[in-house]
Amino acid sequence: MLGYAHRFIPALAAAGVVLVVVALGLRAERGTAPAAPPATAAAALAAFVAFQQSAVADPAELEGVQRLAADALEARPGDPEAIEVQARVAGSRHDFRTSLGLARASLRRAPERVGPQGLAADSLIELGRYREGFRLAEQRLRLRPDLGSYARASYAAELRGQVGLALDHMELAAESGEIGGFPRGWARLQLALLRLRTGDVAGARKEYGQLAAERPNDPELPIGRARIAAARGHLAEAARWYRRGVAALPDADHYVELAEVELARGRHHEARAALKRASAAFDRLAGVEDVGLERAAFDADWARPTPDDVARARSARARRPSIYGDAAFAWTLTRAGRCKEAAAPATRSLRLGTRDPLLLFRAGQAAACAGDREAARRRLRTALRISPRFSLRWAPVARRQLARLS
Amino acid sequence: MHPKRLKRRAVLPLAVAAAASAAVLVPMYGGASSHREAPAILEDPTADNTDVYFFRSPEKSDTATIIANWIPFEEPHGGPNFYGFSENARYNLSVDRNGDGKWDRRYQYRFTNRAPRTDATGYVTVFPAGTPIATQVYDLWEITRTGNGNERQRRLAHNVPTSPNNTGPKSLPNYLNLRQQAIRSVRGGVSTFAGQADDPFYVDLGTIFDLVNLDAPGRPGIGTGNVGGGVDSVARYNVHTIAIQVPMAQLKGKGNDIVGVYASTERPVTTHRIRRGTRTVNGALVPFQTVQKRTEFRQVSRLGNPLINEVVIPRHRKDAWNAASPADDSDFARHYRQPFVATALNTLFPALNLNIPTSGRKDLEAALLNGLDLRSLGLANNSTGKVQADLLRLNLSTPVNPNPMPLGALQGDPQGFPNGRRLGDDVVDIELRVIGGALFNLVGGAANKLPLGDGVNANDAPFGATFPYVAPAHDGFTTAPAPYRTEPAATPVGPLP
Repeated sequence: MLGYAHRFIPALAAAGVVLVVVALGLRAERGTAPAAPPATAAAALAAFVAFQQSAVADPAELEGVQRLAADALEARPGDPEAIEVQARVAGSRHDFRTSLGLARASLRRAPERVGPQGLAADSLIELGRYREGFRLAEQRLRLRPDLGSYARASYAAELRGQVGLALDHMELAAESGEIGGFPRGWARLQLALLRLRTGDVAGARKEYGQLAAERPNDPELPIGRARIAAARGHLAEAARWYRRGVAALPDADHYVELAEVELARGRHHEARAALKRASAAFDRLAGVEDVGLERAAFDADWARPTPDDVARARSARARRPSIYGDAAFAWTLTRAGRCKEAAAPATRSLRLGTRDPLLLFRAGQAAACAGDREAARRRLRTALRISPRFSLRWAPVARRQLARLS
Repeated sequence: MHPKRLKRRAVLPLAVAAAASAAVLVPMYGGASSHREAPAILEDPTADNTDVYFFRSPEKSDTATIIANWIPFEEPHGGPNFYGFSENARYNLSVDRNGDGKWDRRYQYRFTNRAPRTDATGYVTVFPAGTPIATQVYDLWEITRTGNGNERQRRLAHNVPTSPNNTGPKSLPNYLNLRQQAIRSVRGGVSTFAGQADDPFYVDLGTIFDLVNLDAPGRPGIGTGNVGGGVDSVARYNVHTIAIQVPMAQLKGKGNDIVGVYASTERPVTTHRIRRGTRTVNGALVPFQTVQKRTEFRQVSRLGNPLINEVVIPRHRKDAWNAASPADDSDFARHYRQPFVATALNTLFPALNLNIPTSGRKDLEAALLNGLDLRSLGLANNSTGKVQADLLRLNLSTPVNPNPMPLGALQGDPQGFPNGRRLGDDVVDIELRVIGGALFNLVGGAANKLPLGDGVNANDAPFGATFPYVAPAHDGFTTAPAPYRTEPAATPVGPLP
């Protein structure tokens, strides 16, 4: 073989390097992005990761990921990794039925891969198929405990009202991530939110502090400062931090929180402006993912729903029949004054044993609306017991309602 | 947006303003606009084994050294993000002393973060010069499996500081002192080191991003890759290293000098068993609930021989391989027998008529899953018998070679890879040539000595002469990311035997 080597030296060298390329492609992907990415599932996944980590969801970016995955499938038909990326894209769009189908298709071709198992678990949970979803999430965790599977296990525990377990798992998720990396920062943020939801402001402050130490430029930090300030009653400071925060993260949720703060300060004009921006943020997001449920809840929060709003909420819930689907639909009906219709979905929204005070509050209002005083009292008391100040706007309403019911 | 809806929204409940002064604010709409699903991760870097080395210690030949690295591509100027081992993971260096593919002795590292990361305001981190911005300590456990399968644990060291991230000469003028303090002698005559270090691996990856561009200006004469001219793509990057030096007597099996090692990472899986019932309190039946917490550890990555997960195991089976025990590697043997890299080589260069066999590769299967008895060639025997297991096998009786050859056995050096692995062994070139057929003579064929290589024949930083041997971490101030550079075209590896 050496005889022809002198004629084919460049090619042999290329062969050697290509061998290294193929051999070490995974290693290369760890730290650097290809300058000219080939049509591979790995490139599509890398693009998806970049999309997830971007501050603002850009529909064009997600479509780019979709195209890369399609190209990868054209280059290698049936590539289970490319199908998995497609499943992730569908999940990001909140098209959970499609995501589930694609995750299962990927698994049929490569049953040992753990990624699609996690995606299938996510979709099952979002579709309200909790028994299957929780079982698969647990299986995914046992197969490979890592940040993704810990976070999933945490969410499953949170849905079932197991706050301690949810915190344990999310803490493991945070510890599993690379210090300073986006995934670890995301897990730390989820910990902060979980603590806030259950009224543990000091704990949330500590989590935000840890996030700040590890990712001092994280765009969530001004929002974190705003939330802590609001929890302490420093509303002017909170408003200032929210304004800073939305400049980098113009999320609908952040604008709504700002609106609540301004409302509490008696600044109605500023509150309305923030709500307008929240609505615009929802409109933008609707170009990327199905936000029907979230939009329904937002609309019901701030105005009396019309029959069209109710129809939209019903349709959104049909697409995502989880406890959040039931909750958003029930709330829309409640706020529209359709009390008897609201009772059943409100009760269903609590079927897992959630300890989310906002869900409990909305279900409590639905029960009060339908004349079920006992259920209303129980739900509202529980919400206030979990977090006496669970919302600037709704906690006082809950207290007044309880006083009336008592 | 419907204009009428806007008008309705203009009327806001005034009562709220009077009542509320403080409350918790959280995303009420599921954090809808924050892509709330858990981030997809390309890798799990703190669990990601990059390399394992196992060799008889050159300056202390009654001991053997195991080195394993994690967290690839650590940029020296990584601030404000600094690297460290995961607190919830367990990092294992495992030894099979009797050839059954199962570990008999394990050295386990468990890390804890120590340095406070926030000051009084909770948000700003300032440290005086000479204090590492992030420190970890670890406990080192020795776990021994007894004959009946039970495990006995003995803590060899407690709260040993790691070698810090090398932030630079102003913040850490005493970096080398701190690194030296991280080298500890502990119980049992064992020496240990953990922390950031130079990545001792060397390989040319640069051309893959430029469509295998070998003939760019400034990179002449790479040829077949065995005469230098390549670019070390991991030069000036750091990794996190665990190194242990153990008296050989503690590693050997009964009457057996050949042992296999592998590194692995485990993470915990916690389950809560909730027991509900009722009990009587002050004469009344009240419900109660107890929560029983159980934690077990699951393997999430492992590494024995170099490059197996990248070269041999197909992507769709990597998760399964990472979770499996080496004792179960017969399940993966077919991938060793038909390496897809050989297929790629033949496919990409048909005009060369390489005709590298792409299946039935018993030479690879034997070398990597069983070890080889090369005594007939004047080399070492590191075969552990019939059980197939991907382990880095070392014959502890092989003397230390004072003039180590980077191609190891392929250059007639009994001590080099695949008989263990030293830091200077050029495993990329070795594996290229072995895949090309350099060991065919061991399975009844003629050796196919393709002079393949990646053109990089040495690490960018010199190794130390004493434990832990890996070079100090590159510092964040003077080190830029690995730039393009030209290696001298000299340092040929010489003819193959």
